[in-house]
Amino acid sequence: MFEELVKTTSKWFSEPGPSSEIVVSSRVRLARNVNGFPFSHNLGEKDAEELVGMVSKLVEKNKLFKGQKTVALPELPELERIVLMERHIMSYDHVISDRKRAVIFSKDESVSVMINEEDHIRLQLLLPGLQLEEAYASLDKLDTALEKKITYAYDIDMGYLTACPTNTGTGIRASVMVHLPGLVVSKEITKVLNNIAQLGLVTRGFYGEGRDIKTSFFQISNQVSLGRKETEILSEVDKVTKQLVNYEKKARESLFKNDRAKTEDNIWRSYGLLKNVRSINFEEAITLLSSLRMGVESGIIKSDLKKINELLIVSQPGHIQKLFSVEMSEAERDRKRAEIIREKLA
Amino acid sequence: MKCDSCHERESTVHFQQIVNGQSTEVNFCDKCAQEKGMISFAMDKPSFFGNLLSGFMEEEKSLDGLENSVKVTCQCGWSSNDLRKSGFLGCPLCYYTFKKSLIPILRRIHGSNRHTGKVPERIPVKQKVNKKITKVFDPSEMNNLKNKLAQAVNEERYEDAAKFRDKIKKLEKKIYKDMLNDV
Repeated sequence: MFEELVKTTSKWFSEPGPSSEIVVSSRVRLARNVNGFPFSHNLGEKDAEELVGMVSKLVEKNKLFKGQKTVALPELPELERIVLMERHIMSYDHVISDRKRAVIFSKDESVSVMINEEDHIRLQLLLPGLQLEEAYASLDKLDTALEKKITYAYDIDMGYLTACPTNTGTGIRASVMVHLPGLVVSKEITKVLNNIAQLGLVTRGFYGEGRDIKTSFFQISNQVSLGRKETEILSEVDKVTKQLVNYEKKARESLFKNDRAKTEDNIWRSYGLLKNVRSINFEEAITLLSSLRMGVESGIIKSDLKKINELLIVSQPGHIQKLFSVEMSEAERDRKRAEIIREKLA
Repeated sequence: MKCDSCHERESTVHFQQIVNGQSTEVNFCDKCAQEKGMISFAMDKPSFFGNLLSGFMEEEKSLDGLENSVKVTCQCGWSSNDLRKSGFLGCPLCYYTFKKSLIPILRRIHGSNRHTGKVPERIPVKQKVNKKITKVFDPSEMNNLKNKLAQAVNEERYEDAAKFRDKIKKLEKKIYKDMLNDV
């Protein structure tokens, strides 16, 4: 499975969206639980199986998932589960959990439903660039279609009841992945991220193999899910993201104004390295690709954002391993990664 | 500043928790913070909040049945100890079983304990574990009343608005009673 998948980036991700030069992608997820069942972590095997069967049958009928089949996860080899995580189709928890669970995703990989993750049902939708409201609008339709058939655990006062009280209420998490190299280089990033935290939003790093890799990519999302309407939560994240885009633009402008030679040199160096490397680990690749992305975004290097987005996905460890479908040592993987990058940038 | 855990690497994660105005601060390096589940780079790992939450729970435990001496257990088998340890609820019904201690926690996380967002088409009246749902609440009456209330407020017909508000309250009470009868 997935031999074709790992060769390219997800379809939804291949065309840029609004503010794509800084906002890589937008994601909205809804947490839902089926009334009458214990939460996922407290679920017996039989109940877990019943939920997978019931929910997947309903989801498969939805036109968003036309022609797609539910993927039962305990049966799927670990490497393929990692590939799905690297493509943002499912979470790390869903990769490593040992309960009966499943995932189903649309052909363009933009919509996915995880069954028996932290909550029974986790619906998510990804779009390129800044498109939170658009993402929620489509996801809401899917949610409404499902709730016609499923009685969700819901309380009039507390809203949707979730396994963890941090998601109670709307069960919504709206997040954007932003690329902020200007703020990182000018060292203003800490200040900006602190401000974001004070506004009640959460920042996370995004790429990585479950470990911290210092990159200029950040994920910003809401923390509060109760007491505010979905639209209010979305517009808050949207508003802050737009501010971030402005800060980042200003930071880049001043970099190019005050330190043009060095900034350009960095970008061209990264480009040169990527075009010539013979072995490169993921961390270095991401750092150089981030610098190259800024070069392309600023019009210094004539290349395609699409190409860089694709490399950010396919140069991840699981993808490399799956692409060559043989057991590889880390050193071999680094050589293969270099090969793929050189080929794409040639 | 060195990491508080391994005392070797530089600390990069600074965690401050304020409980009853008393602030405690810990500083970890990336690696130790990760091991302690304080940072996570997977999509949605809740462990960080989970940790925060059990901090809250520690403090709330004296509020009701969550005292160490009295162990409250929900119908699903989840106990107040489980809740405190994990920061997770066992089933939807736990929201009612542990309601007294949950409400202040929800307020602290979200600044509110009242949902104002989407209302599903089907609202369960009887929250019962193990699929014995006997009745499904039809929210159309509630939605209807809420719409009328909004309209009345918009048109500044406050007497009508008060009437609708009371009707909504009455209906909510009725739904609650049905729910609690089952608990």
